[in-house]
Parts: sequence; structure tokens; C-alpha cells
Amino acid sequence: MLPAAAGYDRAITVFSPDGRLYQVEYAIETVRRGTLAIGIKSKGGVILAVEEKARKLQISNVTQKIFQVDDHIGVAAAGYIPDARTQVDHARFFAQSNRLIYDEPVDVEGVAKNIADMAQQFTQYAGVRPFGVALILAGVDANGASLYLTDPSGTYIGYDAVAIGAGSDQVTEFLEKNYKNDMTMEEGAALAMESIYLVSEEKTGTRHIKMAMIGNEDKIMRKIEEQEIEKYASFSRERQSQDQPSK
Amino acid sequence: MTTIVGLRTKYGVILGSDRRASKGFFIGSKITQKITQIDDTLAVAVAGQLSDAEHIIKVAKAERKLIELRRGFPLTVKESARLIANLAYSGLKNYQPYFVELIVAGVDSEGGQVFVADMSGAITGEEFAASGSGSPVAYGVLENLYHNEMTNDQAKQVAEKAVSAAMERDPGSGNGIDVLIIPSIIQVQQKEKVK
Repeated sequence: MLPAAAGYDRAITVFSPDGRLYQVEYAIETVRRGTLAIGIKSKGGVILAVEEKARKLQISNVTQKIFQVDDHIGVAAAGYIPDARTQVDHARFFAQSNRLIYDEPVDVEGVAKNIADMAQQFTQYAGVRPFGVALILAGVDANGASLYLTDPSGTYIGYDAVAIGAGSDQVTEFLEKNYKNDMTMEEGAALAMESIYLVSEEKTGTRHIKMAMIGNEDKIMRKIEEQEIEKYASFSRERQSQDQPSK
Repeated sequence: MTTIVGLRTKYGVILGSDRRASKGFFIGSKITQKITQIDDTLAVAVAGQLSDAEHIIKVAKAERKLIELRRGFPLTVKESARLIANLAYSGLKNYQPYFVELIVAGVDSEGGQVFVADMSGAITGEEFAASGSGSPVAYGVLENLYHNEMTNDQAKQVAEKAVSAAMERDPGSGNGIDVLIIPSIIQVQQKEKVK
């Protein structure tokens, strides 16, 4: 738990005596408490996978945490999702503007930087609060497949694989041990499923898991149907039983 | 200046155009692409000032994509035609008109549709349409040969005949014919049901 730090958490334009921006840190805490989102880069493209905790009567066949920015770019969010919608809308506009001005699909890093720059602005003006959400931007552009993480401070970093939200520390450790950069898309998807099951309360079933992929070949974001997610779930179970020596 | 035609059948839509871009009495280009395919289901044929047409289509393409991503499902043909027409209308009302006449044709859940949008910002839904300097001649052919029981291939031939005739008599049209067929998705499904 972060201490209330005696009045330096009120206005975000103010640095605390120990050189911290408390509002930004609190916003990052919001991300840590959000539900899990994972991005994995494979040999065949990029995979986004999220865990969504739907209420009993909620219509849960539509994802709340994965968004499409353009044909070739998708986003998974963790934290305060309404803030994610604003950032995604901004990214969508930026992507189309890029097509209009340069007649080219926008590169993933460009979108990440644009969003991060906007997030930074909200850490430097009075009367506004930072965005309480981190975004995993995944896409395929002229440079190949990319994964970028943006956070409330305005930082953006490229990754081969990344996890955010509740359980992300454990998942990150798992990914650091098990990630291989020559995995196929199926293996990457299975790894994502294994990561989610590692920290989720529900160790079986796929109704709480949503996934999207962008392949290097077609460069088009595809939302994955439940049947295909189940396929990756059973694939991940096979992998798990292979990894563990039989007793 | 141009000849462009658009036809609707029960099985989709067909757009046809010539390839000449005239600069006064000089032929500026012999290989102009006047039909722009916006995506698998929508295309636009342009007549008039090519720069204005390109701009209006690029803006419409971007807005279309943005609306599709925001609301989750694509624009219908009518909505797309209306989008383009609204751009033309605001141009007119701001004393900076787009010197264009466009034939917007596509397929959606209502089947194939053809709309004509001009610089006034009006759109009209048509079974067949022609535009540009060669349009009177093209209309002569279309009025004679068009009927709404045609197949896509038959309509393609009618479109080619219409543009070809216009090229014979209109100095502003010539240098070749381009044709685009956009088949309707639902008609294909209905055909499979019958089998």
C-alpha cells in the first residue's frame, strides 16, 4: 500500500520532496489492480490475450478489453477501461490521419509514441488527472511484428512478451522462463493460455478469456472465436503435461 | 472529360470507366484510374476534377474506417454515399465546391446499390447511371440495353458497350475501358440454398 504522503498527492503538477509524482504512481496502481492482459510476439505474428471477469447476467461474448485501432493494429488494456476507450479513439484517429496524409498504414511505434505523448501531457497540467490504464499495442507494419506497452506516466517500451494487471508479476516471471522467439502462433497462443491459467481463479474453461491475433502475412487483426480459444487451451494442457516428467 | 457508368443487378454492382484525363484540348493521361475500390464491398467512380475527387474519396475512406471501428460494424452503401455527399455539400456551402460527380456503388445486406453524388451534395439511388462528358451517349446505350434481370457478366458487357460508344463520339473520353464487378454476398448465399 502506498502512503498518502502528506498532501503531495493532491495536485499532479507538484513533485513530492522525495522526487515522486504521486498521482502518476497511484494511476499505475490502478493498472496493477486491473484484470490481466498479455501480449506475445511469435514467429507468425502477435497475440493479445486477456482475462475478463464477467458478471453472471452480463453479455460476455463481446470483449471489454481488446480494441481494434486499424486493420493491422490491436490493443489490450488493463486498468480503468473507460480511459482506455479515450486513448484508443485517439489512436484510431491518428491511424486514419496517417493514412490520409501519407497514404500508408501507420507504424505501431508511431501510435505508441502518440498515445504516450498524450498521456504525458496529462501528468503535467493542473486540473487534470493521469490516464488510469496501460495499453499493450500489438501490430504488424513495415518493420514486422511489434508489441509496445504504454503506461499512465507516458512511458512506451517495446517488448517480445509482456503482461499487465493482476497477476502480471507472476506471469512475467513465467514468460521470462518460457518465452522463445521462434514459437509459432499456436505455441504463442498456448503460452498465453498457460500464463492466464497460472494466475486465474478459474483454471479451466474459456469463457473468461478473450484473444486476438495479427499475422505477419495478412497484417489483419482477427478476434479469436471461443472454439479456437478452447483449442489453444487444450494445446497448452498438452504442453504442460509434456513439460512435467510423468510420475 | 470522362465517361463513367454504374449498373445494379440482382447479383451485385458494376462500374465502368474510360482512361482519358484531359487538360483542355490536351490529353494529360491515357491510363487514368477513375475507379477507386474502397474495400471489398464498395467502390467509387469519379468524373470531373480528379484532384477534388481524390481528396473527397480519401477523406471519406478515412472517416468510413473510423466510424466502422468506433461503432463495431461497417457502413452500408447508402451511409457511405451520404458521407461523401455531405462532404460535397459542405464544400458547396463554404463557397469552395468540389468539382466532381461520383458514382458510388457497392453491396451490403440490402444487395447491390448504385448512388450518384454530385457537387451539390445530393445523392440519388439509381438502377443505372452515367456521368462525365460522355454520359449522354452512354445513357443512350444503357437506356436501350439495361434490364434488371441481367447477370453480372451481362451487365459488364453493357457497361463496356456504353463506355465504348461514348469514347467514339466524345473527345473527352478514350484510351481504354476499366470495369469493376462487386458481387453481392447475399445473392450468392441464396443461389446455394436453391441447389
